Amino acid sequence: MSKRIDHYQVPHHTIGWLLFGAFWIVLPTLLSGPFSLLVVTLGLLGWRWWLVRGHLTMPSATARLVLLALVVALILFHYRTLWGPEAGVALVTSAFALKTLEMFRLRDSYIVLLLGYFVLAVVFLFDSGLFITLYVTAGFVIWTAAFIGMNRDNKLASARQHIRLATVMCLQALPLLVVIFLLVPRVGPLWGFGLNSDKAISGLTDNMSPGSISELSQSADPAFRVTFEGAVPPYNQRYWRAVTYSEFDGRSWKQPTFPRWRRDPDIHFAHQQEPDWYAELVSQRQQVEADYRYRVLMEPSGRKWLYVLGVAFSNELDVGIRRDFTLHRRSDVDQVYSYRADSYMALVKDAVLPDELRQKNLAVPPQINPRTRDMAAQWRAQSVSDEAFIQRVLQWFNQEAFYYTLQPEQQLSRDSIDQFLFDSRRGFCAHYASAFAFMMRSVGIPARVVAGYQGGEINQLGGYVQVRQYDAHAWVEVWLEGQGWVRQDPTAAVAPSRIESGIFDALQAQGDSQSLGRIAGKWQRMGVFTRLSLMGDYVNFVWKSWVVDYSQENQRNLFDKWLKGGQWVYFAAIGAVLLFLVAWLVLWWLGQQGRKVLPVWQTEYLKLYRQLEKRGLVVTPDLSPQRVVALACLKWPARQPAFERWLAIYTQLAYAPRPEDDVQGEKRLKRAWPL
Amino acid sequence: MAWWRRLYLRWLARRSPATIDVTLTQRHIFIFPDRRGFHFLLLALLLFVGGINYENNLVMAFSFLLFSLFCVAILHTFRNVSGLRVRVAGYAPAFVGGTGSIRLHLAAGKKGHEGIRLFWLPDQVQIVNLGRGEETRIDVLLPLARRGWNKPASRLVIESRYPLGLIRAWSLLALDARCLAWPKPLPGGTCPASGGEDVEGLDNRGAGTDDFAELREYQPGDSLHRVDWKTYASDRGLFVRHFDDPATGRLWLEWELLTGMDVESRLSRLCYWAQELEQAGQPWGLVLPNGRLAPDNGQAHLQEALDRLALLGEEG
Repeated sequence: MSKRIDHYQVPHHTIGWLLFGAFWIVLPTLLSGPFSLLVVTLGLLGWRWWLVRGHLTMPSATARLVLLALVVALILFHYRTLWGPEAGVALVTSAFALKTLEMFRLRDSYIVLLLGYFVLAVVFLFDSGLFITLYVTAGFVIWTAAFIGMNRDNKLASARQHIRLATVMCLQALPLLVVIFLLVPRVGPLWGFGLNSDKAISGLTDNMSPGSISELSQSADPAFRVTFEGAVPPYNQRYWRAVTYSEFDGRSWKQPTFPRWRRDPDIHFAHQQEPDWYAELVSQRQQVEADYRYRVLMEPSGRKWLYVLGVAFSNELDVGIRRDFTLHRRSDVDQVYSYRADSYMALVKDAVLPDELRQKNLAVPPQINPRTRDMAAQWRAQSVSDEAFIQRVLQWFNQEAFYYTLQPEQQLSRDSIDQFLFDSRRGFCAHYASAFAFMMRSVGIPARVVAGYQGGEINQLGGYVQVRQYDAHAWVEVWLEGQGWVRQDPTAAVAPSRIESGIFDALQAQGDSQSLGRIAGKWQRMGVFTRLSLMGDYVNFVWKSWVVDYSQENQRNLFDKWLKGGQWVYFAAIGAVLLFLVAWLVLWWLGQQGRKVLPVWQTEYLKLYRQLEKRGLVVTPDLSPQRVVALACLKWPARQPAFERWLAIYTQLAYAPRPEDDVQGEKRLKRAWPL
Repeated sequence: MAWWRRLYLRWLARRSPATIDVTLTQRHIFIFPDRRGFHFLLLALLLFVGGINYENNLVMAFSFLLFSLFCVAILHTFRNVSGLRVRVAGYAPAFVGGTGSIRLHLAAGKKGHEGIRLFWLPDQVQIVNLGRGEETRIDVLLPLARRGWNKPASRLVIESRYPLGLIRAWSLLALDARCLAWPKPLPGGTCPASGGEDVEGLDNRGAGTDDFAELREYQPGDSLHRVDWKTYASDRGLFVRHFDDPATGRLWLEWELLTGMDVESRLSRLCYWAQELEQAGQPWGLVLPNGRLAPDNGQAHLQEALDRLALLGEEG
């Protein structure tokens, strides 16, 4: 340590809050990062604590540099970068913990305090649930207590006083917070710079390999929630389309990708020139009513696609419709996002299939899976139509000993579909969809795999459909002459209960308790927990749709509701009155501050003096009270005893030594009023 | 002085005129964020922009909470200073060039006051914490530049940043307070004294002590030099030897005896010798152009003499 450092010390009554607060602040960020960083950072805070207890000294400048290097190395090792949001946040968090070991000056502790608030706020970038909000709020109060204590230069102060004042101040800040939150206009992002998360958010991905969806199915995280206006479709009709895969390389299915710099040519946004296929959709739409109208509240997915039923239209400005009739947002959904959509279930998708699309949806790598090809070709030849062929394949899936499981065997050979269909016969929805689509393509029926979610539980409390990651599903769309793209779900043939009531019932029906055990949310389906989890989800839903997703549109709606259409004048008048009242209150309060409170005997005398003056007694302010009363006695001799009694009490109160708050004496004086 | 500064001072004088007893109200209190406050607001702004950019309402709410907390802190900081009653309650004199102090009586209002800093000069800060209803006396240091009455050159600053340290609330009080500065002792020369056996100095120190008359009970202020330690040692109590000073044995420090010096040097010299004589422990008196102080001895006497020296030629 260099000598010029003056010996600043964190007040003893505050160091507890500071360290507890720092621990509270770093915990959520570190829990989602690498374990080693958690250990190191908590070690740093532990060092600070031992330092307070007098067991350790401040680390030297060299030691601090080494620690910083260690932290940076750990982050680099784990994230491979310092730049992404996760790595950046981890860096700031551990830098914050390191800075607590460098509090030599008052200035340093201010840096620590401000950094602490920052790290605390950053938690919201990755989680926005009600629980984390309460956690952060508690952290805010604790940190504010540390902030207050840091400014308290009083050896007698106690830690309890800080937290009390911090709580009071935060509560006082609350009304203003609410007003600002409601009124500050929401504008779009200032510069395009998404989170581009390098963290794997659980959810669907750009491609589908046979194992991908079964991994997803082990998570009970919420994917989205839907509130319907009117009818809710039955369980087996709740196919939420998100993404279609039309490129098949023999193992996995992909959607066409474009370089970042090129605009996706297959997407149509409002106010753009309408392509033919879209115009056709619109003309169909004009003849029918929407089947379902709903609002979806989506958890962050890190992707652009949205979840909708059938063919859906949304009038959100940043939502476009793709050539495969899925809805996409202009930017990645990195935060909770909500949108409205109207679904039309009966519209024909691509009455005429352009050649280019037909080619794309027929392409399969040559020569793989020969047994499957042969069988498909044979059955097609035996069937009268494409529809009959499809029925035959589905029937086959239904009657043969296919097994629906989360733990399929690994199929590594080139002919993985052959292996699956004829040997193992154990698979998840992705296996069935992949095999089914391959069979269709091999006989010349255009087919593509669709991924999304299927089903979703109805939350009775909130009346919304709650879809979790384990509802992820993959199915197939085939193109048939005159019908356009038609949904076909081979999984429904293998395990009908998956489509009727969900994955739990399906696995139970198969007796696959091993798979069942791997699903994270299983305890939520047991007795009392079901209700608790429903309630928890409902509270979170309300929180997210009202607060987290409070948007420009909500703001407008709220004002419209208050203003009942253009009654701005009333609103302005009420606002002005309120503002005036508040200003007046503040001024009054300021005036009260420091105004001398006169003792009661004095105010009583002034009252008497004014009364006597009013009744015609000639008095001047320089007269003593005794003199004034004597003059009054002369003018009103009948009242002399009353005046004298009053004067006696007055004299006693004014001159005799007595306790500060002699309430009894004051009462007696008031009772003795002589007029 | 720049015209705007003059204007400001005039405005200030009208707004809070000189006083000896004042309760701080919004008339006297100024409030403004200091540098840390702006850093805090900057953090809130940063989070706000981040919230907009990531379309994250909760980050935005967090920034609003910081801002609201800042607004609440304004009221708390103001309240912390407001209601404090400051009264002038005397002074503690010192020699010219030293640091005297003005004694202030501080009384809390209905609420307490935390971390109140008082000073005339920024490097001589006193910090006071007052619980509600509490009172205290403090001596606020004041450098003394000239002999006689010294008034604070600037207004007394009473400031506080509690509770968050982001906002500074301060008061500039013109206090009708003054502190007496004694002349700075100027050693040397001969003792400007008449009477006694020898005016030549203190070679015959203790001359008057020969005429020992009686033992008198010790009173506070008596010189310790005259304490009769023998009686004290034999446990008969604390007595001082009293001298029956013959007229010739009295020492009079005389203004007139110092010639060829300016007023201040004369006073300084007298100041020096007064202290010396007090040390010697014999009774001495003081003759000044504006009166005389009867010979005596002890701290109280010395103080009286120093005060007279300090006040020579001063008004009031």
